[in-house]
Amino acid sequence: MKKLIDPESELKYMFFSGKGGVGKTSLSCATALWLARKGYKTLIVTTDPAPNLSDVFEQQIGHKMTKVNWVKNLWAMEIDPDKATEEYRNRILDPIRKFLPIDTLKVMEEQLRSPCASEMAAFDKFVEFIGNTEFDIVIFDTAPTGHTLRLLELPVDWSKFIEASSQGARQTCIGSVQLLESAKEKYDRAIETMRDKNKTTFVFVLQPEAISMYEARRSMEELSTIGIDTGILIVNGILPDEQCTDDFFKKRRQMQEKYLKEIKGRFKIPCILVNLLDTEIKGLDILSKVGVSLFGDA
Amino acid sequence: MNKDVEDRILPKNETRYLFIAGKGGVGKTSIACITAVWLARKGYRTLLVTTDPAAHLANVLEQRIRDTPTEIDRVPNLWAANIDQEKAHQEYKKRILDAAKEKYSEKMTMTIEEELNSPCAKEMAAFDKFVSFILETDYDVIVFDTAPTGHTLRLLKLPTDWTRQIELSGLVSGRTGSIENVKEKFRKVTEIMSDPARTTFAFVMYPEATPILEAWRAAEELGNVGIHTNLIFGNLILPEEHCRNEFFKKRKEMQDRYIEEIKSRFNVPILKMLLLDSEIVGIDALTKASGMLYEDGGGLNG
Repeated sequence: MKKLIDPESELKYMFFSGKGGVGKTSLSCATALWLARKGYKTLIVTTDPAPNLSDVFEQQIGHKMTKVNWVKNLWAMEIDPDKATEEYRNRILDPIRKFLPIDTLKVMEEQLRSPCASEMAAFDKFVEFIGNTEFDIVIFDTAPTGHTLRLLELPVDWSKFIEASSQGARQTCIGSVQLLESAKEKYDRAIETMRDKNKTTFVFVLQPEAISMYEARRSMEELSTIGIDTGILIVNGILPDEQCTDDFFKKRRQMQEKYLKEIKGRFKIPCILVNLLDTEIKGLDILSKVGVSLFGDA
Repeated sequence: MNKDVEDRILPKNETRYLFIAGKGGVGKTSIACITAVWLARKGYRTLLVTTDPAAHLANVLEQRIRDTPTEIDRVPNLWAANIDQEKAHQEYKKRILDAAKEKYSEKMTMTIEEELNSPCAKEMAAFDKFVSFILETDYDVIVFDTAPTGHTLRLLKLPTDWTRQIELSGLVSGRTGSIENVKEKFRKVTEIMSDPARTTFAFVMYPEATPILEAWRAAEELGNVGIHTNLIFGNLILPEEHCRNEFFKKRKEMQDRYIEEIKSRFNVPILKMLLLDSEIVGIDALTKASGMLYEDGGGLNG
């Protein structure tokens, strides 16, 4: 287990996937803190819409790499996803604005507001860290989907693409518009890095429930179509046994057990269980407790 | 039941449309089923339209649901249809790709194909199916267990050249009539959806920071296209009488704080659905849950 998150060898990047609300940010911050305390120079990057690293670390973070107070080796950075998407959109559209009919431009602008485009913008930010030698490990509290990565891998004929768009391919959420030829090589290298298990670990966060399980399976399968295997599962929100004294919670706890069994049977990868806490995960003390419960003593 | 909520759920002279929006995993399908059962029991002819990909709807209702309205045993006045999203998506993809193959190179077609795998394209395909149900008037109420996003609606609204658009995509059109008809159909549907007298947009969320924020962003986006959220379902609410030790008391207090936040942010009525000690499966469980949600009053809160 430890080997998976120990950057001893080459490991440099970690991605946390999973639906909103399952605890990706808290768990990725706890992981970052744990690694920093082990002596690795660590950067945690979030693209969450709420600038919540400031909440978690109880200090102002922001769009820049910021040193986390009181912790040696830990830096954090918040990327505003709306701003990132807008920058991205402009970078794509600015060079071609004047060549496009106004209607086509409007359609493309809207397409570049899609969830896929936001994901692409976040990925774009990640690419900036590839090859970075300043940190031992970089953690992202969110991860691109298989669909995004497949799009990025496709060969694209830019001029044809605009032609098709102008003919009204508005039913798609065009991702590959972004694939300016010059960026292609950079993206290919980034995806190569993500595929390399010695360099990158994908972590999937889920809850012991039917729908969460179903979605985890789907996303993980999709990632595997691009050759990326998820390395660690974290099941969050487990009711602590000793707290379930009331019959009501005993029954809920049994339900969770049933799903845990199914999760362990279905996904053949290391699985870490994390108990529900009686507080929100904020502040270094709680984060460091969560880190220890995840990976053992630092 | 509180009059304010009643106005947003019950049909008056025309068909009432209820869209249950929210991120995956917050309990949309359960809330939609509970609501539909309650309305049908009240005597309204109710159609439940879902896009449940896990196909557990069949378990919840304890019967096989087709993609056309299926009468539900043991609940008079209730019909359900499950849009097979996967199938709808495949059909939609095929329609566009067939047209594209004639025009573009193989490389280009590959890219279009991958783009058609996007979540947005899936949503479009589902919306295409929705539209046909929205124009059905055989029912007093239609409950949809999912809703299009602002982004999808904005895309559909854009003033592109419809002729070319439809030529390439076949979207919304496909089967019937002229382009004028398609335009008219879409105009009518968006008009219905932005009319609070006929349509209610409800968000499901549980009282925690991230789900609230995500719903808020989605609601804001819908607001920009003239669709206003007018009801909230707070799901997975811890029942007070079972929160007896410190641990669960503290969790309950946390939820209370977030419920206050939901109230002040959205400023619409909140219906609270309690966490239960078992999964909601079967008509009896649904009926019981619908009593808890709509009758007991405990959940009601302006």
